[in-house]
Amino acid sequence: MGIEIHENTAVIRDILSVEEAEPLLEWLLEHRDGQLDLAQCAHLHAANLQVLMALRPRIITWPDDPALADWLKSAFEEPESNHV
Amino acid sequence: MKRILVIDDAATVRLYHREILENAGFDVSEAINGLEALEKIEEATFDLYLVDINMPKLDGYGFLRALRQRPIPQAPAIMISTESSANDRQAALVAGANLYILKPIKPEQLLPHVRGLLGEWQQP
Amino acid sequence: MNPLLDQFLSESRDAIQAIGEKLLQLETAPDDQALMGELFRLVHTLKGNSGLFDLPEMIRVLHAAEDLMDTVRAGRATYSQALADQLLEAMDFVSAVLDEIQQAETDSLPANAERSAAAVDLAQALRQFKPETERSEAAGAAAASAPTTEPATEPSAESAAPRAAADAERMTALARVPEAVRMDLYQRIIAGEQFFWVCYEPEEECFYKGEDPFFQMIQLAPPCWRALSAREPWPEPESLDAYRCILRFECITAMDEAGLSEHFRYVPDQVEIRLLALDDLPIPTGAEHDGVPVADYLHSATEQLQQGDLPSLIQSSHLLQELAAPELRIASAMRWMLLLLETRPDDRALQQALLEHIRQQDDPTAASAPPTPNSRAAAATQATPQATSAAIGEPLAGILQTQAEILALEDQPDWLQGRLRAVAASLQAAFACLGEDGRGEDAARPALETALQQSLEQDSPHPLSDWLEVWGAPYLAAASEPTASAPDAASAAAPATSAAAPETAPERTASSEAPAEAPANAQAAPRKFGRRLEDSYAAPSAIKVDQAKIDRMMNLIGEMIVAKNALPYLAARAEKVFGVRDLAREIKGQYGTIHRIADEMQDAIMQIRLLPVSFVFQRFPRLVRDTAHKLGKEVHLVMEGESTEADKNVIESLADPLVHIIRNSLDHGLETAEERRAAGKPATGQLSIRARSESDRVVIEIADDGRGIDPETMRRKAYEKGIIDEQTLERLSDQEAVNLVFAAGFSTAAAVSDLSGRGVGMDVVRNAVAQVNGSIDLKSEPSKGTRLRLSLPLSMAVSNVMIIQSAGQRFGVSMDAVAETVRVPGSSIQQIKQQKTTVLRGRVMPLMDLNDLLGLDQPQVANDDQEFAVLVVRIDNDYLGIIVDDCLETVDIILKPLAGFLGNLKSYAGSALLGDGSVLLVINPRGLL
Repeated sequence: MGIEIHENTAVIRDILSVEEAEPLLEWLLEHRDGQLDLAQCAHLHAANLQVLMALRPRIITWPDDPALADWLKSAFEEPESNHV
Repeated sequence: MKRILVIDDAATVRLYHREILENAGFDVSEAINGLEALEKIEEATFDLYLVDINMPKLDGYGFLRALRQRPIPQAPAIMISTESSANDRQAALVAGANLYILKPIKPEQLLPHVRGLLGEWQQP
Repeated sequence: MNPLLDQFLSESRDAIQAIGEKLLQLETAPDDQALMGELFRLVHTLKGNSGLFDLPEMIRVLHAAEDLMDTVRAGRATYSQALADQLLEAMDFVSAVLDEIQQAETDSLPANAERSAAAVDLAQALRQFKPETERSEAAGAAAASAPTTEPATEPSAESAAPRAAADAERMTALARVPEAVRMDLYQRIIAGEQFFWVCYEPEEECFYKGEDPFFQMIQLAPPCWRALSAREPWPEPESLDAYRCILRFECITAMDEAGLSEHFRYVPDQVEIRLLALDDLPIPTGAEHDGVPVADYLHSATEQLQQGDLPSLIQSSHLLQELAAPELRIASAMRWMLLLLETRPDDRALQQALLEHIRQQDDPTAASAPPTPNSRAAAATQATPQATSAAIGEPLAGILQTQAEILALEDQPDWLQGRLRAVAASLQAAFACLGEDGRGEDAARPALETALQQSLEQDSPHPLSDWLEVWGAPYLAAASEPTASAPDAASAAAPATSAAAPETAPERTASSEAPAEAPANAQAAPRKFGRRLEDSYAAPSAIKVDQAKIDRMMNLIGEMIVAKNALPYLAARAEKVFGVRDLAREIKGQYGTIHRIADEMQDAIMQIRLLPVSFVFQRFPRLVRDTAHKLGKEVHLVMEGESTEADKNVIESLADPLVHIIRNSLDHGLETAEERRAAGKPATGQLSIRARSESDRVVIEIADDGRGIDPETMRRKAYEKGIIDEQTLERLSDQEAVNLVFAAGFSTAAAVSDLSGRGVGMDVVRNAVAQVNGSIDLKSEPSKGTRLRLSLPLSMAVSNVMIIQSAGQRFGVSMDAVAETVRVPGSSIQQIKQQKTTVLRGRVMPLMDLNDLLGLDQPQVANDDQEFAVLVVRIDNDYLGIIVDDCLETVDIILKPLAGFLGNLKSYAGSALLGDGSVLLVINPRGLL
């Protein structure tokens, strides 16, 4: 549960619930160079996903959970990158 | 800096246009009706007018007719209207408007026309 | 709030007030033309202003009102009392929308069925006052103008959109799938596998319905390909609305269609599922080719294909592939061609289609919006970046075209000279913009000067129009279509872009009960959105206060209570240390007074924070209706006690658990109409949600008359899942078995499949309720129904805690959790295996050392009589004894949750400041275990 802030890195643990989308957005707005550590994140609610996609912060570690990581990476993927 | 006079009785519309135009680097003045606009053009010279039609005291047509009779450099005018009929457009052009644009106007619609009439539009 | 919105709100309110005044004045002077004109102008301005924002309903109503006023002003309809009433009602609606905007602080309000229905009804009612001959025309105009601001992503637009567009869209989507993945899919489809392309576009307000579309997608088996995107360009981060869902999920999965439909059964209208066909896949992608002999290849390949000369075709394809760099699109096309020839040598159509692809050189990713002649004008007025770049030359062409029109006017007004000068100024500006390319302004400009002078001398536009014909010819030709000038294009484009909206209007009217009587009817039964203007005047005593200010006040009062608690310490010191007994007594007297005032203050602030449960309840009718509809069940919802109040935090914490419980009831509890009839029940199921206050708690009951929970099934499932062992299985009473739904691990397993992958079990609900010190209990009778009872504290700000001592430190324990405190002689404590126990009133109770639970490396200390202080706490329905060193007094404290890093410590509920200035950590017994 929740966001833990270390300087300009937000460490996300367990589940980021729908209520946390607004605080996350605010934090990212205040910290435009803010980066995320998602290693321990088990799931984040779609509202949070939307915030991340709109603000595109740097993700320093992807979630350990492969399903979550794959989906998130596809959100951050540049559209050009799929040309072989 | 090019000067633009926004003439509209609705404060919201004036503020809306002011924000768009100032962000684009123009100097904006406001008048709340045709009569006040006529006073403003006594005090200063403008490079463009944005004119609403329906206003108390003196409407947009009246203002344009009076403006076009003044012995001052004649700057282009854009009439902004909610009426899409050909008659209304014709009336605006007769009165002395140089463009007729329908409300509501998005910034990306307004700015190319403003720049075009100010000689500042460039092919993107 | 942004200043523009602020300005809009205040100007609109002024206008509404002025409209009200003018209407009243008109009652005494119905023929006053000036007054009528003023009224029209006010409505017109109001409409114009709302056009700047995304407010379709408001515009719809105001447009109808303006239209009506115009008719009245022109004398084609007569002013009447009823007409004034209708206009007033329209203004009340506008007021209500303004209130909503004010509250939401945004101009893009989430779609609301009630609001839009009200708008349609009101507009309809207003039109009833127009003469019959004008009505249909007005309806058309309203429909055409209102939707211009409606979001283009309206679901109803989808069904109307031609199938071809959808196909093209899918092509675009598939072209984004990496070639290697597509080739793999191709091979596997040939091998007989099936794949589905899934596109899930959750509705904008889905987050408010407790949905998590992302979870929904992750629950699918890992797909072969996935993409996440937004349905519209991302707004500036500052204006992002985190809770308006604009996500689009796409994936290609091997799951079967039935499974997919089942998975998305709550949101079938938001999901598109399509079987992938073999010919969907060979799409050449990559960079534009250049200098590769494609034309030659196409020529020979077409011939070879016709003659069935596959070896030659393979050879020439190989050759071209070698010539082209691998990242080129033509190379991709050759890879596909070779694969096709290898795997499906006889499928002529497939190969032909690929050749056609190459011929058209269309990389679908590049040409996602193929320009058609008709869409050009429309594109020029759209806000999207592509559209602006497509508008190259548009503004100038528009300006030149308009000046040509002005010069063609044949009138001779007094202001002709000025008009000509203005035209010349406009032309000069437009040519200054054109100056850089080709026809330099150097030559055009002096000629324009001359033409203007001649025009002015002759009092005629002809010299200028001649000039324009010469110099403007190339540009005017481009814009020679009659309506091609940009301003007109704007108006022409409006109805076209929103063709879907008019359909929704009549549909709604048809379903409303008596549209023909709308004017009279609407008044008799004012709808929620039709809140009368008088009402808002009648309640001027209500003021809006920022939540933060109330929080601050509550904190201050909290500190005051703490400071107050210091007085008894002071009294004790006065007596014991300084020996002044009288002073001590006086301090105590004063303490009594301050105590009473502080209590009342606390009560007052609690009152302010109270919210009615309707705050949460109001979205249930929609939720129940939608969910029941999707599940194909008939459900009647009964709600009672919506005005019951509780603290804001409590109310807010209720929202999610209640949504979940209701969903559960609808999904598992209530049966379908057929099942119900078969069971001899009425076809329509009943779901009731009742709230009431009971002393200092608010109780919410959610009951259904569905199939209930069968204790036998629960026992079996729980045993199968290993939640209970065989012994427990036999011992469990029916009630205990039913309560197993709350067991962690039970519901998640059942819920992931049953609850459409929502994955939230009843244990989560129970925890959420427990977090605000609430409790939940469940009664169920098979085939009769289920009843859940939530009991929550009215407020959570002040807690009564017991102070205990352990390992030389003081801790607090919420009195809500403490059942009793007892002293247990050391001799009465038995060790059963590793577990300390004692017998309390004939019942065996487990005992645990607080120091052990907190990880403090010290034994508990008994008193001089070798008795241990035991705190009996109730966790769910079990009792547990916690051995502490000593139990001290109870105090009222303001509990503050632990912040930051400490927030993760589940053993503590929070901390509080004590009267003597020390900090007390409050233990959360549930978290200790």
